[in-house]
Amino acid sequence: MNIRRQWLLGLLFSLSCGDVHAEGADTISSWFEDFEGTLYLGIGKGYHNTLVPGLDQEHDINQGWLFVVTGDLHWGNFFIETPIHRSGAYVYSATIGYRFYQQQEHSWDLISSNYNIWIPENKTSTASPQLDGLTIRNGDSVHAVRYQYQYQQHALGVEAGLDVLTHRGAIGRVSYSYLLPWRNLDFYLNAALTFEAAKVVNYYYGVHPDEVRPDRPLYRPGAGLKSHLGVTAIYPLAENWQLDGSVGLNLFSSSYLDSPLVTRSHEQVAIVMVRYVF
Amino acid sequence: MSFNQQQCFWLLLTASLALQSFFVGAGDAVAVVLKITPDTCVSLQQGRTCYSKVTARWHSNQPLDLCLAIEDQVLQCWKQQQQGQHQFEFAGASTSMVRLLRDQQLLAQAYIEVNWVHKASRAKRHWRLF
Repeated sequence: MNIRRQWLLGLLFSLSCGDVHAEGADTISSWFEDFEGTLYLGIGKGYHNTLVPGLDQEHDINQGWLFVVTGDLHWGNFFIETPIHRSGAYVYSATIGYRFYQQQEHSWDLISSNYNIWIPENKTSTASPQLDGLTIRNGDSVHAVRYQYQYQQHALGVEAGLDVLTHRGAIGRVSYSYLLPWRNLDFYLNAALTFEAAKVVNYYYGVHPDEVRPDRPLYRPGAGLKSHLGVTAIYPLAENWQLDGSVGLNLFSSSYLDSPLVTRSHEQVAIVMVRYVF
Repeated sequence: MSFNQQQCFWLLLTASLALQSFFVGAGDAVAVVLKITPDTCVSLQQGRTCYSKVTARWHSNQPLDLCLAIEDQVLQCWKQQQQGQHQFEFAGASTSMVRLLRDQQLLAQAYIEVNWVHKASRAKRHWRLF
């Protein structure tokens, strides 16, 4: 279980505790009542064909059921979001942040999020021999500034930040979503373009001197661009229940594709979930 | 107070006639049953128009001239029919009443209940991509 997932479960637990205490203590209930937003409990199936085959995140999603606690919760200016349907199906990732400016359709946030999740298998796998002997590449934690503009059916996001945990590289992203309601269904057409500095691409996709093997040459890439195109549909099943699903395609520039670790030309993602909405 | 034999006879006769006239009258009364399927429509957001293909079925104990209406809109009328069926497209943001009317007289009614997944939020937010 990674840190973000623990964080989400912890959040759920703390919310439950808040509810219990609220009966007896007005002070605690008042902070609890300041929470706004939506919490989801979901079960579903996913498919993520990662650029580097054999990563744990691919196994986690593709095999078995997905159980997720997700949401969009605000407490004052603080918030936590788990946008699992946006920009690439990182099911167990979350964004925490502080909104320091909001006026009508415009908002500015300070956010912390993981843009890359990469956990090599500890044991050698015949399905992914190119990962054998690699040093661990941890998930990142990027502190960023984000601007969002939401107007009618359009949502635009621009964010840029630096990782403080692993690669210390800069990441920038521009994302756009178009909401297309049709009868009881909502469709979201999503597109995102992410820039990753050389430090980031090299950390995850580079082959370092101590990892060189006859079939794995040294590789030190430059900055890279990756894009996401996806469609999400949300359908109301019953009071407080919804069915949602996403399909998407992640495309990468040559900095990623030329890596000896990469054997695929793109990523495909798909998720279907039934979620209870609190 | 006590009754003699003759008084008892007239009392029983009057009671039986009264009961007979009651049941005959009940047989003549119009009884109409209206059923709506599905009777619930779920939208994603409170206040948003909910769409559903709905079938209304009715039957009565005698041939009737009547009309099916939702709120104030007449959907279909029948002449001297004892049963009927009508499929229509429901589009409403709140619970709506479906009625069977005969000359503006209400014969039967049923409801299409509108539920939702997300309550209307205080925040100005209509995005649900989480």
